[in-house]
Amino acid sequence: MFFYAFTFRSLTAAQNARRLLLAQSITAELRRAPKQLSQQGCGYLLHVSARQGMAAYDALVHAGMQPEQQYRCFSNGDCQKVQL
Amino acid sequence: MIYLDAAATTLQKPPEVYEAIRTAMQTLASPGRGSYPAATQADEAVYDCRVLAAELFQAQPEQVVFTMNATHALNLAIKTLVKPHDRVVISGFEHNAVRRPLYRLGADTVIAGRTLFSPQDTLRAFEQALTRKTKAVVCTHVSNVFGYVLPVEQIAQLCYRRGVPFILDASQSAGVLPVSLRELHAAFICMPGHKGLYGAQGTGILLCGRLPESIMEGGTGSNSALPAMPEFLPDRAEAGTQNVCGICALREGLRFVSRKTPAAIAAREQALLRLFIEKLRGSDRIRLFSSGQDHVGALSFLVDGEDCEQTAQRLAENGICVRAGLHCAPLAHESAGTLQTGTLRVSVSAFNTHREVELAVEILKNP
Repeated sequence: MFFYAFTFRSLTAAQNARRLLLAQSITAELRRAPKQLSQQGCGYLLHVSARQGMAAYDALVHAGMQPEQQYRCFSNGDCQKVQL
Repeated sequence: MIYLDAAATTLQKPPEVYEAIRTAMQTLASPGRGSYPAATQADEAVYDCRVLAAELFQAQPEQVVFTMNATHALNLAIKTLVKPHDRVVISGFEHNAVRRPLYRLGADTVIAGRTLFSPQDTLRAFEQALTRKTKAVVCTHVSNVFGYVLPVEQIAQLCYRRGVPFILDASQSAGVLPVSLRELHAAFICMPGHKGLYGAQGTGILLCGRLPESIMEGGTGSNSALPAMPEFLPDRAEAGTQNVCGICALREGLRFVSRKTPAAIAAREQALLRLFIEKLRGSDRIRLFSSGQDHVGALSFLVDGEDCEQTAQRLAENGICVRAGLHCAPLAHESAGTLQTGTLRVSVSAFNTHREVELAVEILKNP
């Protein structure tokens, strides 16, 4: 089982993205990015379920809020960068 | 006490504003700095306030930068656009929050529009003053001394057509008149949080139509590995721990204004000022600065044979709070010919009543 993690450059950008997704009934949980996913330090990400991940990504791109990176993350903590 | 100094700060606030400060102080940590509830709740509180401001002023949430006051916002805006010796056009009614940063920068400042209560003259003067060399226009929406509403929509249009960045000082208009970042195509709009938005002192907003320079660098909770400030909004202009208590108060103030609507607040305030004018007009001892047009927020006058500070003192002794002197806007007084005398200013908020106006006039007229 996995979930998608979308990274954003700032807290406000992640909050904007979460607000957009929520308006489309897509649940996204905002978290601070793990150090390994935060290239410049102190990044933010949204967790989206595997089921809603593609729809979430499409909605963000459509609204001009493309994440910096997309990851597929597993319960053991491993994350793989993916192209959606 | 009858408080008539809302142009300086609104002393009376909606009850939720006081409560928000207390709650924030007891429960919220620093936004953007942690994963624990007190920090993430602060994240949400600050973002809520950003969204409310963005909705009220037709901007995107990331275009809303929190500052410590309107002066801070104006300094950010002006120091982004103006370099030494640059030509800048300002109105004849600007506050020292505009004049002093320009003076400090050594800007070539051109003053356009000196005639009080003449929007046509103001607009014509701006049209004439704008040249190819003009690097920025800074204009107040409403004179903090006289309540004169400047034709900023037309001035902004003029700037947009000629490609000149426009900075609006909305210190006296935010929460009362329509202010739209999108409609004005402004480079920046600056406002306090503690006047017409009914938040706490120590808060202000800079609406950014473009990326500001940072005038203070530090931690932002983003891009922390890099030595330079982030190149994105709002982080670029928000270094250091934010005034979370103040922002929470401002959030409640914004909710109050949005609920009441700026138009309804303006109508109430204008009715109060009309009553002032009507009651004072009959007195031959009082020189009113009024054109018959609606004032926004403030009204100035002088009492014959009495220094304005003496009048203010006399009123203060009777529980009436007004402001006398130059109101940190000597340019406006220079334009109106009151630099030597100053004026007495009454300014109202959504919390004033007709009865308060009547009482104040009674005391004013009967020394």
